[in-house]
Amino acid sequence: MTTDTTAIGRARDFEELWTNPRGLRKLFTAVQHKDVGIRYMVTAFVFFLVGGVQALFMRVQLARPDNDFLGPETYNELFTMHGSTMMFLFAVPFLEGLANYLLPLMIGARDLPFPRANAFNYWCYLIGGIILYSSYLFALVPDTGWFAYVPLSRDFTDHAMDFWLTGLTLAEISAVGAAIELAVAILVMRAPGMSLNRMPIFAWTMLAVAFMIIVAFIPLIVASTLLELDRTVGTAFFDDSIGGNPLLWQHLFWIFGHPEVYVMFLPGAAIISHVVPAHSQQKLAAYPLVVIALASTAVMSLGLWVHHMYTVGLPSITMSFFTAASMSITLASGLQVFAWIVTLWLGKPRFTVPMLYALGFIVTFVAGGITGVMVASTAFDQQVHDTYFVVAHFHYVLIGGMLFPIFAGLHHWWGMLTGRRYSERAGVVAFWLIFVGFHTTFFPMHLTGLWGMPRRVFTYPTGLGIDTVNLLSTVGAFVIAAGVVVLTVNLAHSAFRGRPAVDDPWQGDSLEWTTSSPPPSENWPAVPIVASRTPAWDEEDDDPRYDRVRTVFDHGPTAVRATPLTTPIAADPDAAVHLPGPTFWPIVPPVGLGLVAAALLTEWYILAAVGLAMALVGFGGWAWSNESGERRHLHPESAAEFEFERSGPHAIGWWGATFTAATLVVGVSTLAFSALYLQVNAPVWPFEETVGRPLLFGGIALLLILATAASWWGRTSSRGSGQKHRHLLSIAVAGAAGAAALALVVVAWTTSGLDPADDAYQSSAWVLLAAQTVLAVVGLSATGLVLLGRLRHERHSRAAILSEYAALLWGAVAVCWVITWVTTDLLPLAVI
Amino acid sequence: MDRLERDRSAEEAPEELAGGNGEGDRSDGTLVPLLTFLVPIVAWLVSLAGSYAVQDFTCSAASSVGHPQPVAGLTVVLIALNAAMLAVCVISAAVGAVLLRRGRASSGFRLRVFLLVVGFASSLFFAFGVVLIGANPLIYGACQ
Ligand code: HEM
Repeated sequence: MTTDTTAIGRARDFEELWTNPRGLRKLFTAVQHKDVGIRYMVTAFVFFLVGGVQALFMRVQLARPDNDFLGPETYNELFTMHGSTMMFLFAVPFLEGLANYLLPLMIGARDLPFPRANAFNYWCYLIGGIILYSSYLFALVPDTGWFAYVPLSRDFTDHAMDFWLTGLTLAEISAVGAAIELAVAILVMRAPGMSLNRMPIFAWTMLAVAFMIIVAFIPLIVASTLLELDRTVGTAFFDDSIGGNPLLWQHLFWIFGHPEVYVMFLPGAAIISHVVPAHSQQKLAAYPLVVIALASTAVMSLGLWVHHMYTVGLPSITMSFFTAASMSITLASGLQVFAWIVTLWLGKPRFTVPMLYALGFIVTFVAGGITGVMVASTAFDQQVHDTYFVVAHFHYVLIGGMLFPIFAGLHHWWGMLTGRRYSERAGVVAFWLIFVGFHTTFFPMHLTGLWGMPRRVFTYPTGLGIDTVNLLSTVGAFVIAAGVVVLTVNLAHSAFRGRPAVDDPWQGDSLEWTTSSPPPSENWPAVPIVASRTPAWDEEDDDPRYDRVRTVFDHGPTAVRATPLTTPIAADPDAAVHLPGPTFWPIVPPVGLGLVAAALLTEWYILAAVGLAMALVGFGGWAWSNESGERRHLHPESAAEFEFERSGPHAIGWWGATFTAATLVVGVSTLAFSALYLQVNAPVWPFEETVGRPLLFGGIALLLILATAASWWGRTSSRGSGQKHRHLLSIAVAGAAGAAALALVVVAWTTSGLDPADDAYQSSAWVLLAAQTVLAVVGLSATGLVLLGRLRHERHSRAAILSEYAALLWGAVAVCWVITWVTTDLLPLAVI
Repeated sequence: MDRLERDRSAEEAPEELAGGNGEGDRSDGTLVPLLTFLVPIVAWLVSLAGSYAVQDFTCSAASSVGHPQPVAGLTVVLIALNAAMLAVCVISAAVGAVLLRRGRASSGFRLRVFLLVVGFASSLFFAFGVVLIGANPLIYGACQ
C-alpha cells in the first residue's frame, strides 16, 4: 500500500516536472527537441513552398521562346533566391529538424544534450532567413546565383549580396550548432545497451553528417566573411591585381558545397533505410555494409570539391585525383542501393505512401547517380558544364535523393509527429502527381542541355529545337506543384482534423515505435533498455546489469529533468545529463545579432549598439539562469546514483567544449589554407615584409599557454580544504593571462602597420589577427563562466568541470595562435 | 566521500556503475577494431589531400615565380606517399582479418566482431580508393 502510494506520488511529481507551458508561451520558451524540431520543419517547409513558387515563375518564363513574362534581372534574382532557399533554408534545416525530433526517440534519450543551444540555433536560422528575404523590401534581391562566384558577387553587385552573405552566414552558424548538438547526443546519450552495432542507421548517418557539417560548413562561413570584408573593408582576398585570387572563392565554396549535397542525401538515404524495412517487415540487409557505405560517403564527400571546377584550367593530374575520388564514392552509394533492394526482395513489401516515395527515391536517385558518374568524368563534364544537363542531374539527385525521402519520412512518422492519420488516398494521388510531374519536368532537361541550352538564361530564341522540351518541363513543374498542394493540404488537414493515429502503425523495428504517438514530453517515463538492433521487435529486456538505471530512470528522477549518459562505444550507463526546462533566454541573443546584421545592412549603426547590448544581455542572462538551474543538482536522489558532474568524456559539456574547440581550429585552419593558397599563386609573398614581431607573438603564445594551464589546473584542484581558493586563483591567473593576451593581440593587430586594402598578404595577416582577437574573447568568456560557476555554488565540482571546458577552449585558442603565427611569419619564409 | 573521490572510484569500478555483475567490460578490446575502421579513413584523406596539395601547390608556386617545375621529384613523392597510404590500408585490413578470425573463434562479443567486420571491409574499400588516386601519377606527369 505504502509502496503504491509512493509510486503514484513519484509518477505525479515526475509528470509535473516534465509539464510544459502551452500556446504562445510555448512557442517562445519551449526548448525541448520535439518543439524545436517541429519549428524547424514547419519553417523549412514554408521556405520550400516559397522556393517552389519561384521555380514556377521561372518555368512560366521558359515555357516558350522569346518570352517576356520576366525580365533578365528578375530571372537572375529568382534562380538565385530559389537555389539559395532550397539549399540553405529548406533542405539542411528540414533534415536537422527531423533529426531534432526523431533522434532522441530513436536512441532512447529524453532530449538533446543542449536544448537551449538548440533553440538558439533555430532562432538564428529563422532570423537568417528573414534577413535574406527582407532584401525584397529594399528591392535589393541577390542575383549572383546560389554559389555567388566572384568577381560577380564582389565587384558587380550592390548591397544585395550583403543580404545574402549575412543572412546565410547566420543560417550556417545555426547548422554548425545543430551538428554539434546531434553528434554529442549520438555519442553519449544512447539508451543503455545501444552499442555501436545496434545503433539505428539514422543515428549513424546523423553522426557522419554532423562530422561533415563541422568540417565543411565552417569554410563557407569563413569564405562569406572574407567576401564581406572584401566588399566592405576592401581586403584583397579575391582581387587578383593585388595578390588575391577569385578561384579561392570557388575552392572554399565547393569545399562546403559538395559535402552539402551529401549532407542532404545521406539523411535521405537513412530515412529510406528505416522506411524500407518497416514497410517490408524485414530487417535491413547488410547493416555493416550500409554503415561502411555511409561513413565512406561522408569522408569521401570532403574530397570531391574540385570536380565542380573542372573547367577553370587546373592541371590534368589534379583533376584526375578528384575524378578518382568521385568514382570511388559512387561505389559507396551503390552499396546502399543494393542493401535496400535485397531488403525489399527478402521482405513482404506493402505499397503504402511512404513505400511509394521510397521506391520513387530509388528509381530517381539511381538515374541521378548515373548522370553523376557521367559528369564526374572530366571530358564529358567539359561538354555539358553549365548546361541544362547539369540542372537535370542535380535536381534528380536533390529531389530524388532528398525530397522524396523527406516526403517518405513525413508520411512514415506523421502519426508520431502529430498523433493523427492522413488520408491514404490523397497521399497516393500526391505521390503520383509529384513523381510523374518530376520526371516530366526534369528528364527533358537532359536533352535541353545536350542540345546546347545553357543554364541561367532567362530566355532562348526560337528555332533551336528546344521549344517542346522546355514546354514539357513547364507542364511537369505545374504537375509537381499540384502534387505538393495535395500533399500539403492532406497533411495540414489531418494534423488538425485527422483521425487519431495508433502508436505503431507500421510495426516498425526501431526504438521510437516503442513509445506513444505523439510521445509524451519526456519521451519515455521509463528509459528504455536496448538488447538488439531491432528493439521494437524485441521482448522487454531484463538484463540485470541495467537494474540500477531502470530504477533511477523509471518515472525519475523527480527533482530535475534528466536522462542517462552512456559510454560512446558500448553504451554502458555512465553518468546522467541534466536537461533544462522552458526558458525564453535562447531567443534574446539571436534577435540581438539580427539587429546588428540589420544595422550593418542599413548602415544605421546606432541599431548595432542596441543589438550588441541585447545579445550580451541575452548571453549573460542565459548563463545566469543556467547556473541557477544547476543548483538543484544537489538533490540526493539522482546524484547518488548517477553523477551529473563528472569530468572528461563522462559529461556532455566536455564533448560540447571539444567540438566547439574543433570548430575554432577548423575556422582558423581555413584562413591559413586561404593565405597559403594565395601565397603559392602570387608571384611575390609577402608583398613588402612580414609582420615580424617575434617577441610580441612569442609573448602572446606564452600567455595563452598560461591561460590554458591555469584553467587545467583549476580542473584538478578540487580536493582538500583550500579548493575554493585554488579555483579562484586559477580563474584569476587564467583571466589575467587571457586578458593580457587579448590586449597584446589587439596591439599586434592595430600597430603592425597592416593595411588590409594594400595587398593580399596584409589582408590575410590582418584578418588572422582580427580572428584571434575574437577567439581570445571566447576564451575569456569561458573563464568568466568558470567564475560565475564558482561564485554561485558552494560545491566544487561545478567550477572544476567548467574550468576543464575553459581549458579546452583556451587550448584551442593557443593552437589557433600557433597557426596564425606560422601563416603570417613562417610560411612566407618558405621558398614558395 | 567528496565528489572527485567518488568520481575516481566510479572510474575504477565501471562494472559497478553498469550494474555490478562483472559484464560491464563489453567495450574492452574495441580500440584496435575501432582503429582498423578509422585509420584507413585518415590514410585515404592523406592520400587525396596530400597528392593534391603537394602537387598543385608546388607546381603553382614554381610557375608563379617562373622557376622550373620539379616534375621528377614530385612524381617520386606522389608515388611514395600513395604507396605508404596503401600499405597502411592493407595492414589495417590484415589486422582486421586476423582479429576477426580469432574473435569469431574465441568469443561472442558482437560489438567487437561488428567493428572488425566494418574495419576490415572499409580498409579494403579505402585501399581501392588509394589505388585509384595513386595510379594517376603513373599516367600523367606531375604539373601536367
Ligand atoms: C520542386 C520543383 C523544382 C523545380 C520545378 C525547379 C526548377 C528550377 C529551375 C527552373 C532552375 C533554374 C535553372 C536555370 O535557369 O539555370 C532551378 C535551379 C536550381 N534549383 Fe530547382 N527546382 C525545383 C526544386 C528544387 C529543389 C528541391 C532544390 C534543392 C533542394 C533545388 C535546387 C536548385 C538549385 C541549387 C538551382 C541552381 C540555382 C542557381 O543556378 O544558382 N530545386 N530549379
